[in-house]
Amino acid sequence: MSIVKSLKNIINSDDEKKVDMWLKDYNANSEVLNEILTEDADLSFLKDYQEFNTPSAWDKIESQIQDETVATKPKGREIAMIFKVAAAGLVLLLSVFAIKPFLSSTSMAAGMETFAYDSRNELNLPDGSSIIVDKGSSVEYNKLNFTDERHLAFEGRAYFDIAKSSEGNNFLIENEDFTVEILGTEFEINTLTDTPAVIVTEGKVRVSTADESVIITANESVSIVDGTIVKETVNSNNVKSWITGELAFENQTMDKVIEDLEHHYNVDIETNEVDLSCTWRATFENDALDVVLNELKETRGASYDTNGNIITISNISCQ
Amino acid sequence: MELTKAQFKTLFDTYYNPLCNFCCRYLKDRSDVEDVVQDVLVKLWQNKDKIHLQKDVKYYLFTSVKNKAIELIRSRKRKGEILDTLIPEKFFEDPVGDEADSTILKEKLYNSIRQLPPKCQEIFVMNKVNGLTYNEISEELKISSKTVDNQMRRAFKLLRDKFGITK
Repeated sequence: MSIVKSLKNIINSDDEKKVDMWLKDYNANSEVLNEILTEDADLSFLKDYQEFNTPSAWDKIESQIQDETVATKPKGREIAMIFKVAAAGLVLLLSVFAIKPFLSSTSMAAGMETFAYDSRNELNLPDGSSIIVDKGSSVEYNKLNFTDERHLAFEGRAYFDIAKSSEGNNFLIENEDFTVEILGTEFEINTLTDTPAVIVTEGKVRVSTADESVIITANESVSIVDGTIVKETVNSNNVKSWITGELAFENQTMDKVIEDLEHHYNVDIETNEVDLSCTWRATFENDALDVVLNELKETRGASYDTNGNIITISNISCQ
Repeated sequence: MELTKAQFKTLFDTYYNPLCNFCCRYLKDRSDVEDVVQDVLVKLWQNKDKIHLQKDVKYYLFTSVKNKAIELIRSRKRKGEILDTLIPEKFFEDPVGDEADSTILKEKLYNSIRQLPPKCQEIFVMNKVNGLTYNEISEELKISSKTVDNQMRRAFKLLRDKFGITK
């Protein structure tokens, strides 16, 4: 009966005003309330509702409200994305995980539009491009000059369908580690890992760091390892698994399986006594990593250990 | 977004408690919950000139609180401070909109119930929230069930008046 106790607290005069304001703002709710406030209503959903000390919280933060130039937290990875488009009907796939909260980004010019999403959503840009934005993502652009300068900043994960520009103007992406110039392609960028990477599934892309520049085409990837571009061949049909949720291993060798799992779940996997040439056949649909690891345990006798974001898989031998 | 300090204070007073309750879905520790909510509200103030809201500010606030809470969980997981993976994936999928509205509704109800006269409030909560029958309440409080009935009628009348419901 905790609520009885908390409700017994002395009513302060602010409550009156507060509820009046609720009523003003949320008239739409009165229909719901009308239904709720019947003789046989069950309000047990209020059982867990708690009371936090709002006045004391206000006292705590008020000093920060006075001073608008209060020190901001140290910056995480700054994601400023700029795209360049050279061909028509481009589709690109970006996966950029930013550690830094989007809204603490540096000053914005007039006309800046910011969108924050809590679920998968589609956003249509002024130039006709559309973006499928994953949950937990934010997108930012300047609506005043977007069709002239197709600059886009975002954090999170997104799938881009870039419209052809009649003026042939650029669509650029850049971040702390490298710049991507889109040359007509379908690809993914991931900056969350220690070795930020671009994977191309179609067409080609130019990736540049401060020192180097390289063009990669379909089924190739580059990673930035200690500031140096390392180009590799990609042999995976699970590149887009994070979008579809479907992860399929068709007798793939363990080294590929582990790479795909790292990519899909954005984790680091270490191995111990694992024969990387063993093959595995399994499919998953929207399953948590635990489910996959358990399947590996049951079918391959593997054991695994989780330590924060690092997973160690042990003891797999080919049978 | 135009926002005076007085308006911000009103916003803070209005949303602080529901946001904290919403945040409890993700974080167990009350001080974590309050840190996250305060952080989000302070950021709203600091970035008020840069934020262009497409929808009601409540969606921005609830979404930010959710993102911030998940960010905290993830960073703790990365640092190995949380070893288990007990957070169901659906927490990362649920749209915030409905949850925001239902939390606000709860806040509204909670506040209105708090404004009922003490005896009336106690009886109302025992019956409607804790599910005790009129008989159980009359035994517990050593009052007649007629009194319980009267107080309940009174509570409903006061609440309906409060919410402008005519019935």
